Amino acid sequence: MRPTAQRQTGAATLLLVLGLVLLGSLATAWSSRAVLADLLVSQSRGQAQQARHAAQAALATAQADVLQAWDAGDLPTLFANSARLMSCPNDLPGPRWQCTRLPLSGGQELSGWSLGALAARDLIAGPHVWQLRGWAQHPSGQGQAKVRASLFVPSVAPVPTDSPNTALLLNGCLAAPVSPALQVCPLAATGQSCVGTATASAVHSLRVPDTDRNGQLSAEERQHCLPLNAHHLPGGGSLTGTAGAPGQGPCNRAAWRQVLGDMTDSQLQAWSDAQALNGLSTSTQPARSVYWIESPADWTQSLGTPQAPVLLVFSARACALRCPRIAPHVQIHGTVFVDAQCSDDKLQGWQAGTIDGLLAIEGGLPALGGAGRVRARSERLAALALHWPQGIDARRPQRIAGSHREGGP
Amino acid sequence: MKCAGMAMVEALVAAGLLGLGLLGASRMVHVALNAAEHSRQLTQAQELARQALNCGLTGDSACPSQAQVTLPPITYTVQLDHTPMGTHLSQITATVTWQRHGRTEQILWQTRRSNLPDWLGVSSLDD
Repeated sequence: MRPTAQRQTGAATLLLVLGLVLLGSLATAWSSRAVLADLLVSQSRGQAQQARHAAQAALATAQADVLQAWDAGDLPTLFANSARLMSCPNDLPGPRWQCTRLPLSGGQELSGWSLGALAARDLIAGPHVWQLRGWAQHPSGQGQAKVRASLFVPSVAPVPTDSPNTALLLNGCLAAPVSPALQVCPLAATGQSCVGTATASAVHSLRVPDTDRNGQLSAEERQHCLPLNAHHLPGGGSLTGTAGAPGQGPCNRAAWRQVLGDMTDSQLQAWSDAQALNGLSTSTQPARSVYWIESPADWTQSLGTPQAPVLLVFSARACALRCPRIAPHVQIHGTVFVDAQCSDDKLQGWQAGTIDGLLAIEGGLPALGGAGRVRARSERLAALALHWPQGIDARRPQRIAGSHREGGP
Repeated sequence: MKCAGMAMVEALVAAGLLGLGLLGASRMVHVALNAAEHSRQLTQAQELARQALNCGLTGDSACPSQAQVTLPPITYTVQLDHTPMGTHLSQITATVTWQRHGRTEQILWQTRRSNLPDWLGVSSLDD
């Protein structure tokens, strides 16, 4: 007799066990996943911190490059090397920003991280404020960081804030008789030149001969040095001066120091060249603001606007034989500086065009060859009105407090 | 007639399967615990390295060149080195070493510092 079929109960047990094992495995896998994720997060955080430190290293190396160039008296070459000039990042648009890749002479690699750095500066409002940007990248693509900081760099110097508020500044005298074509207007209370009461001197000489050697300048001595009459001064204004040695004395660049202070020829020239090299011109926005001229050719281009005055310097080289004349139709808004090096004969027959701002001459002014109108403006030195915090030592590079940033712009 | 011994067989098979599963799970747990421990130690070591580098970046001579830090149950050795790279630059290296299961673990972090002077003041530049 065949045994009757037994009820099979093992399947339930089997299923139960399998279910328990499955549940246990799932729980274990889930906790392992959490642990693995935590491990990845900690590795990622460590990678990010290392990237940050590497970017900081790039920035420090860039700062050392600046200091080395400063020690060698070679600051301009950092931006003058055309092989290293580069397009600026997108947040620094236009021709006003100039960017250069720094050599990182301290090393472009650190613990497997590739380092890079650039310096950027605003050629209009801040040629002395360099923004350094450092970055680090891992060749594997796992990690990158950026950091930036700004520093003051003495590539230019602050200009005096107490320069004479005059329209025409001389380091010498005017030769009599003064051409009737010359007209000088001082600043006026109305704000419009040649209209209203004068609020400053029209002409100031830094070297009025003290002919009677009494240590004081009389009205006659000033008049003798600056023989102007009411026709030359349609807006009124006084003729002022400071005593100089009688006769010819060494040229002490007094006009330069009054207007441009401690700024050197090479600093101004480098600034002007940088603006030209970066594509700034009269037609760009913003327009070029500093012109250093070494050519003896006469000047035929109007420059500047009342909102954006310029600085135009005819250098000593331009005045080697004869200082460039300004064509009669030319109007300059801003400051014109003529470095005649106290050789008045280089300005024989000179023409001034129309200058709305300040005309400063390192020397006297002999007979003019044509018309010249100089009308004082309060914003005459706006092109040089850079931001210099009070109390800063403008003679050395230094960090700008609070400028350190991490990450992209 | 009931088949004698089938319940025992079922129980043995079930126990065996359960045992295998638990064995695997416990192995996974062991690996996970090791990984968690390693992660924790690595995080602590990274934090010590970061603190050492930050101290080195301040230029404070009071930063210890070597220190022992105990974060139970591990004792970490933190070493800070300054290597001059010319007149204006120095390289700072922070090395953190600790023992784990008889092996020496180490991380090494580096950065650089320049001696660019600070200007003590407030600038209104919008940077």
